[in-house]
Amino acid sequence: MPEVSGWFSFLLNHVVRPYLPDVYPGRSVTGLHWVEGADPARFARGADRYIDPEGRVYSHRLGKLAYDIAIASHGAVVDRLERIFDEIYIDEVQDLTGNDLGVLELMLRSKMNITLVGDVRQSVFSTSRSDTKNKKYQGMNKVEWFREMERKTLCLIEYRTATWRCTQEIIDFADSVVPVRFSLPNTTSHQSVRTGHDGVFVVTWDHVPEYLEKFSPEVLRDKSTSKIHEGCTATNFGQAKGITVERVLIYPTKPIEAFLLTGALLADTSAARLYVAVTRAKHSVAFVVSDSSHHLLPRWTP
Amino acid sequence: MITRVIVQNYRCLRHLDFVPLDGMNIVVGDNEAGKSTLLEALGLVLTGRVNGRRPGEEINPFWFNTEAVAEYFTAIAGGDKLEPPQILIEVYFAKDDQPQTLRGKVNSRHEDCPGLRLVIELDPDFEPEFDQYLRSSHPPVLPAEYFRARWLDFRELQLQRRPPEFGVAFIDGRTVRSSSGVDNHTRQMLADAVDKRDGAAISVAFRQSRHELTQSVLAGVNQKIRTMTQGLLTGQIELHLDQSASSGWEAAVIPQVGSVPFAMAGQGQQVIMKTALALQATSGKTSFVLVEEPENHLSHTGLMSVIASIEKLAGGRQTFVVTHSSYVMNRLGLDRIHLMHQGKVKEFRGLDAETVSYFKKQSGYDTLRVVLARKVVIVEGPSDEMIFNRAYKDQTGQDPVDDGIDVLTYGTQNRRPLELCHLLDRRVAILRDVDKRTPQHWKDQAKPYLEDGVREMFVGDPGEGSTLEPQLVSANNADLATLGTIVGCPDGEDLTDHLTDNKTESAWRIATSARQIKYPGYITKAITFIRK
Repeated sequence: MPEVSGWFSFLLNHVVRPYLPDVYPGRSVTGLHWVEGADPARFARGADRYIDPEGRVYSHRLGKLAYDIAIASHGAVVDRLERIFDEIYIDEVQDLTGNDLGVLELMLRSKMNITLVGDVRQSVFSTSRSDTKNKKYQGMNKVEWFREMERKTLCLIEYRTATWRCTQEIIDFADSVVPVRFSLPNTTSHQSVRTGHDGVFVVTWDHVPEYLEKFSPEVLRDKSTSKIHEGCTATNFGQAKGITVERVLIYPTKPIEAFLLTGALLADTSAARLYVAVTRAKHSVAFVVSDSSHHLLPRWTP
Repeated sequence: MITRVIVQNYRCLRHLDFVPLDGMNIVVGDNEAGKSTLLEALGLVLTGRVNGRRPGEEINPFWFNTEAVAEYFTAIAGGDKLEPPQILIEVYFAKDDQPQTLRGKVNSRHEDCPGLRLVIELDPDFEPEFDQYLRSSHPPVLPAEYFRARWLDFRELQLQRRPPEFGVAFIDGRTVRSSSGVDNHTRQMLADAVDKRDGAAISVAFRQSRHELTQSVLAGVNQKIRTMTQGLLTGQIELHLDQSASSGWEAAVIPQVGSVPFAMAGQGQQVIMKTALALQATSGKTSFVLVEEPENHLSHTGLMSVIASIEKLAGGRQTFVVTHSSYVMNRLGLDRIHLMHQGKVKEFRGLDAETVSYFKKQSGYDTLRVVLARKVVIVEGPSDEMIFNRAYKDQTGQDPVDDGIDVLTYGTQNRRPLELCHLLDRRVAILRDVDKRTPQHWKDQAKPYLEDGVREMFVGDPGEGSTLEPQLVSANNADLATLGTIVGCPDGEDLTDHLTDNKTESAWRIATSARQIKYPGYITKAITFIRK
């Protein structure tokens, strides 16, 4: 029977719980303490840095605790996993970070068949924001970690370069968002449906109501404080991950607008967020701009 | 395979550390030694159920070791801050055993292996109530209501149900005389014996047949009720068979042997049926068989057939048998014994394979007495036994049994029981006739098992006769008339001949006489030795 679980539960149930006594004898674990924002155990030491008084492990340090335990167990963690699982599949692997990668490397070195699936260009989440281990592999740089593993002959990388969702115009634009230094291959579209309004456009601020009326796109914005039209409901970039829609209308941030105008390189995280936003759409992507005259992208007018 | 069982503070088991063998395990001990409690604890931690219910619903104050509770209350009264006693039951499996998901180091030994533990501890939610209880005037027991039971694996992760990888069959000698028909253990085995598909088919057919019953016969009855109750009630009363899931077939289907329902079957037959069910229920699983006193209610032939079934069950399964019967013990193998005494288990290993097979053949031997006695006196025959007992009483004013001494009759074949005593490190006095040899000859023969001050042999002085009877005559040389009167020796008959011809009768007369005689030196020496 296959077992399906999230990464945090996997670390808790198969790494931390069984061998916690190797690192913090006498402590017990009851669950996960989700940490978002301020670090509740900033000044804590020893076990208290990882486990709250109710026995819940702080999510942002779970990777570090798991890795410490895996090392302290002298191979018992991996031996145990090998006797339970023949194969392990990890989806959205680009979200693993810091010490998670240490655990992952131990798994890659094991007898188990490990299949990792993910898209580094969509690195908008991570299991920990504060884990500083493997810092150079954060965000899209994670691709270099996989390449490093491949050099160590611990894995083989297979690039999937086809999309069945986005049209060629959209995916070409999305690929252009990703910095070239990552040398990721270009994507080919298998989306053959044409709608009469296909590709990437700019729309001026005053034409937005008509655009909404005509195409009913999914409206995306950077964050809840981004300025949008009154009465319009929008989804934040991060929350849009995983969805598929016919069309999107995007309120760009300042850097995104600069990128649209001049091709100025975006920071990795911004690039990833924009990549996610753009690739939600099957047929069309439109950016809301104040003045469309200098843009190279086709402009939509009523 | 269970490699270890640890029990703390559960009933009479305060600190138990039990290392079972693969295959057959026989637990023997005096009454109240904790044998059945051990089996109960094992069943509890392996199935997470007690009487078919979760332990959390069944906790009662008497589960806690009374000594531990008393010590706790004394310490609290003395102003100590102390955690209340916890019940802990742990089973450790071999490191490679499935299911490996149970594996971890969260156990009292920090051992890396799969395992299960049951922890009964103060529920943190009830700490204020518990403190209140301690401050009030309360009975000398723990308030079980404030305790919780957690059934965990060695990752400290709570289990909801018994892992499907292993089956547990509990065969107890207790019998059922209730109308419900089958006890919980038997019901569980019955459910396990039927596979999922068959079970579902039975369940559907069972509901169907009940529905038909409601439609046909009950329809007529309901019509009558309707006319009778007309005008009395606003609603209608109808009789229906219970269709809920809880009234499943398992509650209505019972095993039957030779057209006799389980509860009506003879007590012995019930035990045989349970064993047969267990054989079926645990086939093809990593499984454990727990057997409690199989000898109860069984005739000797019945017991023989149950033991044969248990041996068959044990093939590949780890089996735990608690018994009072030497027959069961001999038959299943003396090398498989765990001796329980006051809540602790003592092992003895290294019994010669030949001796084990000797007792398997001679299963009538009362080995259990050797195993359970603190001190053993081995004599040759019934007359020696009676004379020894009387000599003991005359010399000490007590019976041997009052001093924890068991007097056993083993003929001249005393080597095997002696080997047993040697391994058990029992204090033994062996008394024997010198016959046509020298005392040294017999001592040399038993040498490997003798030890000065612990196990010694006492042989009659060759000068005073080769057997007990001439020895008695020599010892009473000064007053042969008294001995003659006691044993009723006719005038003119030689006293030694009379004694020898009427061995047992004479011994019985001496043993029950109001008058005392003198005893041969080797007997009095043996008495002095064994009392030390």
